[in-house]
Amino acid sequence: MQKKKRLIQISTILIFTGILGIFSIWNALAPKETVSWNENRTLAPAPDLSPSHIFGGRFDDDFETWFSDHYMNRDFWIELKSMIRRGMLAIENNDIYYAKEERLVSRFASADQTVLDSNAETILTFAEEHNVTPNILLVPTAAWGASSTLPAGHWDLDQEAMLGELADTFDGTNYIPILKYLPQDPALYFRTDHHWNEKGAWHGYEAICAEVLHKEPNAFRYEDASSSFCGTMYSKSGAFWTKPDMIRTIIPETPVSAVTTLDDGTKLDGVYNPARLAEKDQYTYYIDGNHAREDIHTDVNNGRTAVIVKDSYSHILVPYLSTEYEDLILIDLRYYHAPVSDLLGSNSDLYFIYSLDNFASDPNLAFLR
Amino acid sequence: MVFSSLTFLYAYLPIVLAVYFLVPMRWRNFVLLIVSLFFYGWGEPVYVLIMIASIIINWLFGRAIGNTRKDHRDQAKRYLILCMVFNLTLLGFFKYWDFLAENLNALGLMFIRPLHLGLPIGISFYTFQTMSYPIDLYRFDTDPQESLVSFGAYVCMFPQLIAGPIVRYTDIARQLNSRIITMDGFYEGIRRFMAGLCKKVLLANNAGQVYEAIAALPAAQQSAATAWIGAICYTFQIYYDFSGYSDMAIGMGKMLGFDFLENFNYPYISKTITEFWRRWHMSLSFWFRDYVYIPLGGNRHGFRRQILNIMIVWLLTGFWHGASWNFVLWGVFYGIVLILEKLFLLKWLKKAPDWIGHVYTMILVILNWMIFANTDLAKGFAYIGAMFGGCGRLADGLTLYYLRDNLVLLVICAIAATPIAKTKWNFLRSSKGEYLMPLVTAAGLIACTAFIVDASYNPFLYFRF
Repeated sequence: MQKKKRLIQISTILIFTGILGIFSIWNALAPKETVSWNENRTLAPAPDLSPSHIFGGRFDDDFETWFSDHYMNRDFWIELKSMIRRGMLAIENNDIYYAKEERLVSRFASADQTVLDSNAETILTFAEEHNVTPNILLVPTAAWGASSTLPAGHWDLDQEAMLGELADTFDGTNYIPILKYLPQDPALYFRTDHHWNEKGAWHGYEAICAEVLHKEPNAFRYEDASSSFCGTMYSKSGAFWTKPDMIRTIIPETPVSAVTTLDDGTKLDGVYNPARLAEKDQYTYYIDGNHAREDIHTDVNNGRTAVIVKDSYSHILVPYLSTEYEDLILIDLRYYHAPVSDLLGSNSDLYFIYSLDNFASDPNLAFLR
Repeated sequence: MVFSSLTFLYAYLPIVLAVYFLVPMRWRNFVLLIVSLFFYGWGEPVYVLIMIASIIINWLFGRAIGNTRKDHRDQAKRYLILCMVFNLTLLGFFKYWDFLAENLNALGLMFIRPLHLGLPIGISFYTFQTMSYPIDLYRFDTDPQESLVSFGAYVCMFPQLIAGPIVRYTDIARQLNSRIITMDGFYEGIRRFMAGLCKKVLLANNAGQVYEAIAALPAAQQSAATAWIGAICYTFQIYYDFSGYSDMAIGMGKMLGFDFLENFNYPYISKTITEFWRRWHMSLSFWFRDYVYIPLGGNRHGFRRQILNIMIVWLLTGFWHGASWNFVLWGVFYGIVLILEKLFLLKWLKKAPDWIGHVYTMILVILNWMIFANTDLAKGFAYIGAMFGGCGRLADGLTLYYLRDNLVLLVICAIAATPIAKTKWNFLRSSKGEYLMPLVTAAGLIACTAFIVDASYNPFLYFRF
């Protein structure tokens, strides 16, 4: 009896002190990363050891931030935490649902009514002042599209109702009734990212053809560009066991050539940047991701211009739209604060293309003028 | 530096344990003093000087009281009063000056101004601890500590420095001078520390996130049932946070060879509020009983005086928790309930079935936590309003979501709040189950590490775009 007790005691003590000791040493010796791939951010720098900092009152917090940012095998711990949550039958981690079919879907549980109202007001005022009829495309997120895969007990805002209310708000503009064209189908959204995918965007294009361009859509085919896309939902959920997504190139059956000019003057051949496929966020393959302004010139000789005020949901639409316009100007109001009205001409269509959750929370539309 | 941080677990603690056990016994109080001052200075590089001053001054007063208490009672009493004034001024100045100034200013009296000094960490705990020493000396309950180092080690001993339990000098006086460290003690210490760490990291932090999410909901979404889930989560959070911290303190005390008194004894199984306060934060209740209630006369001067004494103690208890009106209200509320219980409720509850007592106690405790949780009184009352259907709905899909998402967490929290772990139902206590202890220790430590690392996980994703 005494022997058994000693055995348990000794092994517990060895395990406890062993883990503390070995992990401490391992952690002290492990090479320090500077960037966290999954978090897409630079990790905290080593704290400054000057006396003024040490006695400045923030030293302990800074040290802890640095120490935990660089704790060895960071991704292992993040994934383990996500696994434990799943093991405890939680249906989300960091507000990302563990959905069926290895799908990760962002919860859409809150909208800022003030932001929503003021965004709508901004657009209506702009339309009136400049006497244009904007085409407004608001895309429901995967919390709607993939709701059939969401775990029992999920709760999200009613996006259909929100879109319906916005249709009334935007009476007098060309508000595109996206739900008429976009079926509620998980396959139209990435599994590991918060964007719609090329199939979802096709329905967006179809809607634009019917409601704005009044023509039949062009024909496209798809080619796999990458099979290793681990999107934002993958990173945020910590569910690193999820298999990666596919990124596809959208190719018009009737070839169109295009040149994309980024805001720093760099020119891309076409509407893709293949170099981006080597990075973490492969969605930036489409028109090189976020820029204040991008200009795309195509050989569609129709003299028409699309001015698109947008978030990144529009990026995957551009390959489709670039077969319909000779020029496309994409504006991101987070960075572009010059007058958008200066870009409008007699042959231009004005679009506002946002995901619904973003439209209900992004205050940057206030920069529209 | 909190115990549930990576810096503490994977830098400070291993080094401290190694040094502590490598030096000979007679050096250990000195080591303890130095590492504790470092621990305190890490978070309070300036206020550590106040701590050092407090140690020296209380030690000197202790000597003076020790020298005079026998033959010059009046002189000893004067020293005691001076010492109390010093400690209370320290606490009063740092903790209550701004509160006093702001309230006076609000009344139009501008002769003092808020200073916006930071509150030294743990000052409420360590001033109460140091005060126990001269009082007990004066009462002949203990003898003066000859060694300044040992006294310093007592005051700032890192396990209980910042969040209790409030250890009275008499309780560890003997161990301070000589203690034996056994394998039994170290093993028990690890078990206790791990229980505390898991309570804090796995239960309290997660329950706290649920409460915060629910409290932040727009009022229209706070259905009655959702608000109750939030309040219950806060109730779990504060218990597992605080008792987890006490467990870690007691556990590390055992590793170092000290036996601290228990601080919690399953408070949520109480059948009356009187019982609740015998089980919740016991070291504080005992402190107020021994150093305030009884010296005021306790129940020895008639019932009216007793009621006054109870109200004084509970006003102070509330105020001790924070310089803000919600804490005062929280304490006064308990004072009133305790008086009502003394008057007639206890008799009634004794006759009633047990479950009535449990429900009565928990409802009062939960509601009062909502006052405690919100320094903004209006917010606290609004939340309580929501718990009684303020938004017009009893429950909705969101209620189901929080229940579903946190079901296992809530069940574990509920079970762990009962003494079931001390019965034969706990497999780890059976003779076969005990073999799992090393594994459970490893699993607990690794799981806690994962949650602590994850707390710093901050994906910067342009998620919205």
